[in-house]
Amino acid sequence: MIEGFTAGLAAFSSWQVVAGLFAGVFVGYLVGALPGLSAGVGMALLIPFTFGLDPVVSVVMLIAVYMASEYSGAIPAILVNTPGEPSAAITALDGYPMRRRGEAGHALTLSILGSAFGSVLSTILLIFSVSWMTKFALAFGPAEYFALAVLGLSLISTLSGNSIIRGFIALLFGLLLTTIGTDPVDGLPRFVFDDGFLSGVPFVSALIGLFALSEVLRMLETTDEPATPMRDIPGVSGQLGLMKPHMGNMVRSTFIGYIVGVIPGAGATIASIVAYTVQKRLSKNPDSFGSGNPEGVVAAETSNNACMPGALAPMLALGIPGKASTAVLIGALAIHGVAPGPLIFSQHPEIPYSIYISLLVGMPFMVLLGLYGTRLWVRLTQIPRGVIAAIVCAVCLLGTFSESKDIFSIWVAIGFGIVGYGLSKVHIEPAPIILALVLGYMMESNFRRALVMSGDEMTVFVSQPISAVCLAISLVVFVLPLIQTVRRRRRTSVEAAGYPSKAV
Amino acid sequence: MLLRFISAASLAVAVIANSAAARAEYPERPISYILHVSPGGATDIMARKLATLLEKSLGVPLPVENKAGGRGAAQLADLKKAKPDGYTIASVTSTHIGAFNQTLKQYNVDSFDWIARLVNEPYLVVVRNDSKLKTMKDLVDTANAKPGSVVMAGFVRGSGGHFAWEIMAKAANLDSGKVRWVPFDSVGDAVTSVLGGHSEVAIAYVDLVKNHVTAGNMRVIGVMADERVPQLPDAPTLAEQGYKADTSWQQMRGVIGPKGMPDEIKEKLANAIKQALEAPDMKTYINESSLVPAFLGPKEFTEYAKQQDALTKQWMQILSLER
Amino acid sequence: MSMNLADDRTHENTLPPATEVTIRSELGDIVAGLGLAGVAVWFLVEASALPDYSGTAIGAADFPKGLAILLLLGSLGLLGGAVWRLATGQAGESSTIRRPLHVLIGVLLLVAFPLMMSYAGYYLAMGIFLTALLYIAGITRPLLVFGCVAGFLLFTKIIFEMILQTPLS
Repeated sequence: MIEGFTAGLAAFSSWQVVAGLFAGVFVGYLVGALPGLSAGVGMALLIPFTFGLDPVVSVVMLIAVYMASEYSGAIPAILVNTPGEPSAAITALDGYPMRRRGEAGHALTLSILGSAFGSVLSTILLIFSVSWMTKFALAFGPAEYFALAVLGLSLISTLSGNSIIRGFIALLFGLLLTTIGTDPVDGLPRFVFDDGFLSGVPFVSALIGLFALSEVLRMLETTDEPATPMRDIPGVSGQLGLMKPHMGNMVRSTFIGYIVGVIPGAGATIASIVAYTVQKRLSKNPDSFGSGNPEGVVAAETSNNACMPGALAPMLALGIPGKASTAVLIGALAIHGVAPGPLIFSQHPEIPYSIYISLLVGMPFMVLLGLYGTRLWVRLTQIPRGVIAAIVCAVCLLGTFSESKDIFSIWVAIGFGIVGYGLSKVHIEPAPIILALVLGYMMESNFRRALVMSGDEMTVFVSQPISAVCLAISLVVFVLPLIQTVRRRRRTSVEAAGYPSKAV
Repeated sequence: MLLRFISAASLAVAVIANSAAARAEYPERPISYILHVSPGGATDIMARKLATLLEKSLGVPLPVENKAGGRGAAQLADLKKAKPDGYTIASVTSTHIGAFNQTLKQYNVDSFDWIARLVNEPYLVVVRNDSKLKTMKDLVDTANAKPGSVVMAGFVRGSGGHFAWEIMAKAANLDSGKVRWVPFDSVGDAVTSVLGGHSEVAIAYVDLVKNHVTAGNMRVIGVMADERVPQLPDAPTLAEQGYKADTSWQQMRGVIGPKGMPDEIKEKLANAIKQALEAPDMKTYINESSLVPAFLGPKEFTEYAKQQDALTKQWMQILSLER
Repeated sequence: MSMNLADDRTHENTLPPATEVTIRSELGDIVAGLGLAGVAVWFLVEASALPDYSGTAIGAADFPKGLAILLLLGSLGLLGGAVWRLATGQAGESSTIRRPLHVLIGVLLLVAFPLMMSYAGYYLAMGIFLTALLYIAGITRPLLVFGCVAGFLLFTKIIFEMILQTPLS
């Protein structure tokens, strides 16, 4: 390990590596904050630049893009309820209500410091556990993935506001939408009423529609009102002080993020949801989650940034691309004849170690950019509401288009925007729909795959420890809140059936 | 990229200025290169390398557009709309030919002009190192002895890899139904599933497994090619083990264009591609990625595509995947 | 987005003044319940037409069928609850849409945008769309509207078209 670090540090003495790191952070900041442009897209855009560069420089630059964009997705999520990255949808649940109370500066500070903490601690975990975490990553077969998806879906009650029935309806609607597209096992087109849906409902368009465009329509209702007054943010040292009450939350969320990140294909959105739920369960005032509880912002942002180093474990040690961004990294390394996988630590130790170093060295730079940036970003909340609504709408339409370069995706976003606006009027919220869109395909494809493998033997889901444990936890997680709700309802039987007591 | 934009812009100005000078020689403006994959994957990177090299030799920019989705549906819809003037070309792989017969029936091999084949990738049969299957014969015997006991991981039913397995099974006189074919979202996922011990066997490509083989995690028990693969000198071909499977069935990558391109433009493109494939850093890349250079010009490539299409149809019928 | 962000929230809106539409939430539930039930039925019908190639217990049609049935039950529950509350005269809450005309015009503008973009190209379509949307959103001072539109188009040109290489024209 020492030699590896020496090799990595030696690489960092080159000015090109440092320049690559800075360039990557800037590009990542930008693509992360723009809805529709995800980390993977931003990294892929830089690939042509890396042809002529040294492999270490290119990997450092791409890692910086990855790291910065995972953070900056929270900025538009907090400011305008528009997640710049899918995982920031969970950040928006509490971040946006905070901003509506004038606490944008507070929320942004929590998000950058939580992100930094998660990213650094998770990198340290990665350095020490990369070799044996790969065994954990490989333990996930179809049955385990199915159980994991079920576990994720069972967290629905956390996200469904005050009415569980409405949460369910939203979840089922989302799950049904994930069956649109080419069937995962038979390769048969299902419910494809337009060729654009052959590869499924485009997720980014749906996300932008449900969160951002429906919010734009809601903003149109209130553009005649003055901008939200802004509360002062403390100086930089005061900003650091804001994190004190959240230490336990951050450590827990980091571990959750790292472990979920290691599982290939699970990803930051699941990590955020799990950490958010855990924090809500442990919190002293769980009822304020969803209406601007700072703990929710910290949990979501810490875990989704902790997820990223986790995803590097199977990518480095096994060459498995867990998601789009790590797939791009593998591609970028392949250009230089470096193949991540079991041989990388012996053949090219400078690559993994320069990744570790760039994660650790890049972070203070990002934090400074984030803390000073916060002062700039909060000013955006003082722009007239009408300008915000119009510009957010335009950026979203363009972001959707640039993701697929197809007008069809704009149609999808608009459709989801209108439907999302209508559903929010009857208190059916977008978060459970997003949860379903993230997990639905994973659940169905792996369920059926596991049955093909076992020859229709249903016991396959409970005979393996990981899937059995996941399923058992999901049963508990799923049933407990139901019992609590029923009890609460008995106590306050005045309340009409299935109706939320206050708007969320 | 900014540079590329500036050069494109200045070129555009030049083209407008010269418009009176009638038809200059092809190409005189940027050629867009539409890919069916999202950025970052192996096919994408090779295409981008090719585009950079072609820009040098043809003297015009080749902006790469990624139109992923629906096994090529998005890309082909764009290509179909384009004029056959040589200013729009697209990537093609064996997957397209499979899709013409399955999900994308609105197209067939004759819907497009086949410009050049670039490379081939042979299919491999791989197992985890601790598997008791050491040879193809072990695989066939185990499947015959205990039908359903062998789980084979691969890409979707009806994909190139699935047909490859069916071709192998036929050569071995094995009823392929005795092995459970489990479709994964990608060949990479199938390999991971074997590494994790969830499946016994996978049909894969050299590049996806060579490091695992070198590191001693995996073993290749059969190569579906005429000769052994240089990166895996210890892996025997199927023929060496006495199974005569059709080795022309390989995963290929190539370049196509809209139907009706003039022959001289196709020839010019094909020649430029041929040169690009021989450029030193392209050669290195092809070698590092364990691909087999397999250039074919327009005529031969068209014939090859037709032949692969006929094979696909034949296998679809045998497997009753006809839809 | 760093162009003219000067403070001006004092503009007169020339559209009708802020109105509110308040509907009983039961009515909203009935509309949503019917809509979602319709979606569920469509999926059910389509799923029953799917062939089964898999040869396994759970085929291509089974998952969507199950989900559609559950969604149908859920939406009928929503519908039934609303009808029951109406019938028994239980006081439900109400749902409010402020400035419904503005929202409706916003929806129409959204739908018009992709149509305009296919005919008139990106820059013209976005110029018209953004001007109209700003106007609806109460930004009427010509200089500010012009600044926003021109600034945004320039931003797109530089960030999206030149740096991110999104083909926009």
